Amino acid sequence: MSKLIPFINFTSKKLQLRFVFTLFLVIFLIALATGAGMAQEGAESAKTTEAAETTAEGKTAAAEPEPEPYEVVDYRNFFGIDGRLIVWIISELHLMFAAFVLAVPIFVVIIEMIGVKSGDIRFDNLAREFTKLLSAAFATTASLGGLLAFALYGLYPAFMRYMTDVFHPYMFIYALCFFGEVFCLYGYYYSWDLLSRTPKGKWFHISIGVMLNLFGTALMMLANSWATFMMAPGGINMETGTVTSLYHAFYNFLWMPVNIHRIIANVAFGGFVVGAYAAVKFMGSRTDEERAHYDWMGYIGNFIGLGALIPLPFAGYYLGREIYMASPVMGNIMMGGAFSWTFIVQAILIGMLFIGGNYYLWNGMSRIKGAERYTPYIKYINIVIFFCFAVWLTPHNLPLSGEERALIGEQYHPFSKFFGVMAAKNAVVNLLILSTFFSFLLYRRANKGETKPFSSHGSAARITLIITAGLTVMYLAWYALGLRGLEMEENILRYVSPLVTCLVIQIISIVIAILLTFANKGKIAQSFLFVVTTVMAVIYFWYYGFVVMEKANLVLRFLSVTQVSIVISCLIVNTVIDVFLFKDAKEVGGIQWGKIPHRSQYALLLLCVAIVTLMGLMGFIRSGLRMNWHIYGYMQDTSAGAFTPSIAYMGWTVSLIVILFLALVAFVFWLAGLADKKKKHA
Amino acid sequence: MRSFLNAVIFTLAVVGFFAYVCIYVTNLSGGSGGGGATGVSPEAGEKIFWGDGQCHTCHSIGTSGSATRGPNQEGLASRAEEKAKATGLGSGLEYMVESIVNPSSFVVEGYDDIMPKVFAPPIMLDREKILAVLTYLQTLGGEPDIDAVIKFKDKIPEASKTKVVPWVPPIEVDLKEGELIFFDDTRDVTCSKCHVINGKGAKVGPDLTGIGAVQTPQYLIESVLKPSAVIVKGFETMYLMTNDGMAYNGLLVSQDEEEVVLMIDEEGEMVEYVFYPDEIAQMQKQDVSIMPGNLSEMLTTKEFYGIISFLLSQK
Amino acid sequence: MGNRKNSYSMIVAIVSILIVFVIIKFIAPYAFMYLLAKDHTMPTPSTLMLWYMILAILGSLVYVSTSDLKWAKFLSFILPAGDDKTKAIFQKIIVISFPLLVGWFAYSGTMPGTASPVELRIQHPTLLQEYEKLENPFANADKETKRRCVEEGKILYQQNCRPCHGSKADGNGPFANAFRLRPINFTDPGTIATVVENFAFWRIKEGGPGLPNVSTPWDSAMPAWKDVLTDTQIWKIIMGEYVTAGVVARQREEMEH
Repeated sequence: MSKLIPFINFTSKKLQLRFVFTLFLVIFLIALATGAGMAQEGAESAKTTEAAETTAEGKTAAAEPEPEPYEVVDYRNFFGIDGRLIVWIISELHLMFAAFVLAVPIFVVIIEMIGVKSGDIRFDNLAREFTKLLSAAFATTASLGGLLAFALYGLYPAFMRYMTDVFHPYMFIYALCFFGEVFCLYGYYYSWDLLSRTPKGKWFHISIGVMLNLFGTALMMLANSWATFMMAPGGINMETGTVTSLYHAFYNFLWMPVNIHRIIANVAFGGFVVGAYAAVKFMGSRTDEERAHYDWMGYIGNFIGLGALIPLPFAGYYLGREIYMASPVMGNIMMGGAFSWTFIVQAILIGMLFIGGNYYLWNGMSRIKGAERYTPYIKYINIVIFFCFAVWLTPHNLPLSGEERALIGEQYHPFSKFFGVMAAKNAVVNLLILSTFFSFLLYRRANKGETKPFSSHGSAARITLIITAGLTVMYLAWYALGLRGLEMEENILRYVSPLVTCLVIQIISIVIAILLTFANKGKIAQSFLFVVTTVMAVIYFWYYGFVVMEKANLVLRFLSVTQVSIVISCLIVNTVIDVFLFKDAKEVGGIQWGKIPHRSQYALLLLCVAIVTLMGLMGFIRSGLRMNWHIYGYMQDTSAGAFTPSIAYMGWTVSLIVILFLALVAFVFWLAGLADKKKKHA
Repeated sequence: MRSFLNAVIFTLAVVGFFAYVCIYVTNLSGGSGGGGATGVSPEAGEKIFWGDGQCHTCHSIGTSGSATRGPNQEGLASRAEEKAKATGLGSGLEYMVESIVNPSSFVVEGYDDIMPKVFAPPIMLDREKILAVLTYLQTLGGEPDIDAVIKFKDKIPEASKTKVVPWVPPIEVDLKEGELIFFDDTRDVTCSKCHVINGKGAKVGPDLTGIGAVQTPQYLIESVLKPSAVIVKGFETMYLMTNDGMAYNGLLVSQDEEEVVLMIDEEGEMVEYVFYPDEIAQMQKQDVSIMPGNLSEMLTTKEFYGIISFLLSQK
Repeated sequence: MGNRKNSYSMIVAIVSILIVFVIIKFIAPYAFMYLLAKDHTMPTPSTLMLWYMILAILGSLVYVSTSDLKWAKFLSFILPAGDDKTKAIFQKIIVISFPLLVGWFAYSGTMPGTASPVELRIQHPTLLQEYEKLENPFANADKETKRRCVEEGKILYQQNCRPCHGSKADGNGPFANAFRLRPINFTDPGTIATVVENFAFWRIKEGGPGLPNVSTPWDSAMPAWKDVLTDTQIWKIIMGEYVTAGVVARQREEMEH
């Protein structure tokens, strides 16, 4: 027992100092807050009922006679700080932590399953290592959630009164799910040893993990519905606010798109956080063994993160489309109005994610023997990715000086004319995704040599391949038929037929690719599919997007969906082909875990910071789109904080949130690490 | 430990880069930050204008900022001078002080009366900060004169931390004077020509007896300055067009099957007109009040607040 | 891999950055001139120039650091050249040109110039709240009324809007050439076809003076029509204008679950 002491050394001067300082800080802050709070407590409030009755004119309270009547307050501020800022920070932190406790179990369960399937003990250990983090993170999330609820009820009483009126039944469900989540989480963690003895027990354990994820997802979806209700209210009378259909208020128009977007993003987020954890550990590790372990962990984190990142733009695009659909005005604010510049910032961050992810893969290839065969491709991928990034960044409205405007002679420079519009951006995003996917495939095969003939994988492989390809083809055909059946004016309908043709070409190429794979020409099949997809979805649709924009704007939305469908179908089919192509293939040299340059670890860190920042930014956009409405179109925000903050202000706030979050996460990791150290030395 | 430190530095660098991009983008798209000065000086005022004071929420200055809720304040000082002359105030500065102390007193045409009192919650600027903003505002199309600004120190309420303050007119007024003006029919505009208080006056508009007990000062101020904002039920203006193409605007006195009686303003006199149904081509309710909308120009600030105080005393 | 030889990857990187620079700075203006059949070159705006160059530099740095070997090779160029003459020359060029470049940047950054300020014009400023909720009073009218409104709107359009926006709504009215920012060509699918009718209503009613600052109202010569036309007339004009231009307004898409 005496060996324990050095590790939580309560006699250590440093630790004591730290404790004393923390305690001091806490007391100081409390004193400060109460002091300010006392002064504020009696402060004049923004609005009285009387003022509300006299409609538009008065926001300030009327002169009241001496005995002060009970006032119904609509807004309060937080000890002198604008309530909105407080709610912004707390809710974003809560959201990030919630994403963390939702993402980590998803990650952990996937890893555990891989571990059981592959029989590799490393996966099980990794899963366990991260489950340990959960309990501390979970408690933090819950505290932040409580804080958020109190902040909302305290600072926005009128708004929350209404929200409670509408959603109170779901609030109870929320609480119930929370119980489920708690029991599953602790059950999952504490039963690890108990259940890992037998395979049956292991699967039972995994099913607890799945339950945990289901509860977590349910919680997220419940909370999402409140947030999306604020953006696109449904099921209420927009004049009086009476609830006409609770179901529609809950299943409101933006609910599903946000759910999908958030779930996928959560997986990416979980992966990148794990990657960053591994990166920090890797850089600090002293032995080769540790280095190998953390290198491998970083690789797994990055793998899962990138895997989720690839479909994320599609989900985001879907969400954006639905926002346009819910309210074209909101859509215009988003893409053409006050928020258009935030999307340039977003483009930078996503660019960082894609470049960081690729950079890590490329660096990772240096630890693989046999990767030299593929390194020459890196140049071209690099050029393509940076080109895409450049196009993506090019704004449609460019800051021009008077001379430049005079020289150009028209409103738009060709660069912004050809690169700045949706048609171009869609094309490059798809190209970006395709090339990242290409990098990924190269990485996967870097280690692999001679492949086995397809027939050797048996009929299971054949059936899987056919089913996957069949589903993809069915989806494409379904969409093509949908396009055919569109009821539109003849002159517009003309522009739809090329889309149908492209879909048909893609279906044919998928079939050809499958046949080629069966004929043991898997690599050719993959390249063939890549080339066809790139030519159609990127090059042709870029050009055709402009044609459509000029002649039949209405078709543009079908064009984007077609483009996305084609790219996704290519990704799916190529992945499946790849899985079987390199199944049991000869290894060229093996991976030397731990032999990765330090630089690449910064790429992992970058990925984590970028995705956290991105979440902060997108949270701002999603919330800010409502402009000065609490509930878009029904309840207006009449508080002083209703203004849309400048991007710089947003930048500082989001930076603060990101730093706070990362610091808290680091603290949680440190806490979880304490127990570990104890064990090793005991 | 070193690796962790490196990671922290790297993270801070990335976040810093993000913040930098945000600021860069903001500068590109308009809007800027403030300097770093305190005390009563234009520099400090500028900082408050773009920061604590949240003035930029509604006002932009020239090309800085993008807010459009309130008027663009470029060249404010010179405009304030003009306004002051038009409203009978001593100086442009006084006009600005008035506008801050009682935002509803002068609402620029085309804008709503939405400006909050900056010394009240939730903005709660203290006196010094408001003075600083005033000096900054003076620099917009004029020269700052800090001494002159300081003189208005007592006019500006201290950031209020108590509960509802009873309404006091922002300048010293005599409510007796207000009463005189209300009933003075030698003027171009006389309230009592249309309003009754305690049985005195003509009954064209709403009776104002006891108005002080039921209405807030803000409501009264608005009703005098912008009569059309809220029109008391039964006093809507009626627009009537006869078959021979004559158009009339007036208050509906009575309406039945045989005749329609409108009270019409004829060069300051209220005259009753009788119309017969067969000569009426069109009749429509208007959302514009018949009450003159230019009272702010006809009254000096002192007279104006005198009347308001007088009305409020009618309990 | 022949590692004996000196690596020139740094030179390659620098040359490729230069190539990008030349393409953006000199080739693109001419390329656009020919491609778009203009009678003048289309110089790349300084802001874009800066962004693209930053990306090019970043891209090269990313590439040369993708593996330890490449990174070492890249850095090795600053090591002593030994007996490799060409390398020595290149090194000298770099050593001399780098400070020159930095100096030139510093000089051009601080040199007082007469360039007018860079300004950004937001094409579709945020639609004001009060306009957002409006609805075309004829949106749900029967066919006959609609047709009549469109016809009336066309006439009103020709009476009021033609001088600038042209009889075919192509932005080529008799007055069009007099404005620095030409009247908008409504037949261009990037203009009124991308906005909802309310947006057009706002623009007609408030005109240039009603634009928010980010949209540089002083650049727009569009008058505010609110004093001249009634709301009903404006709605009719909008209906007529879209028909004249042969485009359709952005529609609220039907909501469905």
